[in-house]
Amino acid sequence: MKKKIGILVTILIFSLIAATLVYDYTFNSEHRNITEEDASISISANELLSQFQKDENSATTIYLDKVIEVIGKITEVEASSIILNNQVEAELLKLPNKHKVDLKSFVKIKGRCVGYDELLEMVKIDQATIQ
Amino acid sequence: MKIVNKLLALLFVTTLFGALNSINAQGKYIDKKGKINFEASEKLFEPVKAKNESVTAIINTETSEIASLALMKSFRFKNSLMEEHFNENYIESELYPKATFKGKLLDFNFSKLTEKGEKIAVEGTLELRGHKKSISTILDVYKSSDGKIFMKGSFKVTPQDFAIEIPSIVRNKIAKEILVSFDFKLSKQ
Repeated sequence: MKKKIGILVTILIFSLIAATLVYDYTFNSEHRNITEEDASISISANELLSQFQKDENSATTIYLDKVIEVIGKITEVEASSIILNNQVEAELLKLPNKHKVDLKSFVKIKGRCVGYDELLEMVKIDQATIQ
Repeated sequence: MKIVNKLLALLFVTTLFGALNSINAQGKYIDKKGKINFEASEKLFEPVKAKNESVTAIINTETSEIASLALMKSFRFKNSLMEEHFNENYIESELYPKATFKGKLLDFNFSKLTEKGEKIAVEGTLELRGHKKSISTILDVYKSSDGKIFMKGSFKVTPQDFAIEIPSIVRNKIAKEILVSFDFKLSKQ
């Protein structure tokens, strides 16, 4: 009898722990960590923008929310972002490091594509890191 | 004498172009890192809110036209699951990746704008998920000493405005009216 109760209590405790873990995983799961994800596509800033300007819908299907690598020349450095070729704006996770972001130098960044901004005529990348 | 005339004509043309150019340049103010927050929280339930800190806003001070664009994927929620549902079930950001606003500031006179600021009405159209909704609201606008335009305001929308269906299971956890507030700091281009 005592043994049965013991087993029951153990099962109960384990299922409670399991339920809590599942709940936590579903409802409080962490945001994606873009830095740790591998880029699915590597592309030049020029090519990326021209694909969005040619056919925004299909470019959206290909690139939206994907982690991509973009290569281009730094044409502007702002408080929290850099602009490549005046075509792609990458919002950096860490503030631009002065040693790494010389104007006019070529860089490769990795980040998540969030879409095309037709007011600025730029493709936007967020959570980016300089590779 | 002919040469003098030609020179004068050239001078006239260059000044005219210069003046036109400077008018164009003067007219445009841009914010690339504007902020938009929206909140649809109900009391006692988990807050339903998100913020977007890379909204584009452009004002043409000559024509009083204003345009703004927010990418849906740039709205960040504290809860990642809520962010996923927002993108996949409600906004369908793969199909409709952005919201745009186009409108006009009413009785806006940039040269009279001061550091003290004033209330300015704006009217325009918000487009989201292929649906258009007229928006009119009052903005707090002021000019900083270094010539930037600061602009704040808010308005309310409902999910029905954009044909967003809220499933009955979460209906009482999401407010019927969604408060959208924005904060732009526009610099001369």
